[in-house]
Amino acid sequence: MKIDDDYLDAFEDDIVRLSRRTYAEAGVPMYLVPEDLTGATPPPEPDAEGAALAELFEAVTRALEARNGPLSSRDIAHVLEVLADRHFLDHPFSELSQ
Amino acid sequence: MSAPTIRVVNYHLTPARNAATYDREFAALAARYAPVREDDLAEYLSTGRWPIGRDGIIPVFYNGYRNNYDVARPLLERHGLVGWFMAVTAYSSCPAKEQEAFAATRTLTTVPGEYADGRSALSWDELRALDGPHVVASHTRNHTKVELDDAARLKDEIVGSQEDFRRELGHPVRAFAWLFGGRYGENPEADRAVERAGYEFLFSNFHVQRLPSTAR
Repeated sequence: MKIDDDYLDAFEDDIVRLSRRTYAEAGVPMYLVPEDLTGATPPPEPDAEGAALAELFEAVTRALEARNGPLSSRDIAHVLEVLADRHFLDHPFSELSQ
Repeated sequence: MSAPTIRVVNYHLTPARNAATYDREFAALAARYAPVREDDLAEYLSTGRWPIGRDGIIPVFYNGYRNNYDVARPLLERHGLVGWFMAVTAYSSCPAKEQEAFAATRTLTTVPGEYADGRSALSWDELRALDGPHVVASHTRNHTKVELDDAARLKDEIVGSQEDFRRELGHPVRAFAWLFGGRYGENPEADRAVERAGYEFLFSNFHVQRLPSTAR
């Protein structure tokens, strides 16, 4: 997936906008990766939506690293927050607090 | 990210002044996703499929605030969602008049003047009422930063919290969220304490893990 400059600019604007939320009182959508460490079953495969999300996450993080250098875990959290805000619902989740 | 994902919405304080926002958020989430209980999460972690036929959503409430019970709980129930309430057990055990000082020394934010009696934490009666219709889980005993090589403090925060739940709820809780989001496998002392306490799920910044000891 190709991420162009316009997409990346808008993505970084969303990072800034969402970072200004009052985290102590805001609902913050987030994706968590499930891990079954019991060894009982092999890890499940992502469904089509999960696979598309994973591809988008990889593409965005690659593009952000190319633009800004290595990402910290905080940067990665911000990427996931933007993706979750945009994709949990049919509209940005953060619109509901406006 | 290459695996399936779990959708959570992380909340902390839910003051009444924001109730209309939480109502809209819960309504939108409930329209698209299914509520999740611990058995549903266990099945998803082992199969990658939600047992109820559509994707699940976990609204998580960190720190055990009283306004989660007063404001968020009735809205969750109006929309048929199951909240996961990650309580700080010593905060809930702390006398009301001492809770402001407790919070101030433990990276817990509160809403000034929110309650006349000074109690900002979930009481044990409220936690018992949540336990069943919703999920009660542990977010340590004190919500305080602990050096990761301090075995005694780790045990107090992780195992001690579970002891509090056993005493007050009459049973252990199944999920634990470590302060600042550490995951299983990063620190052997913490891992041993989490297993000794008997938790099944560990929530961290980027993962939900079902722990190896669950299979034993």
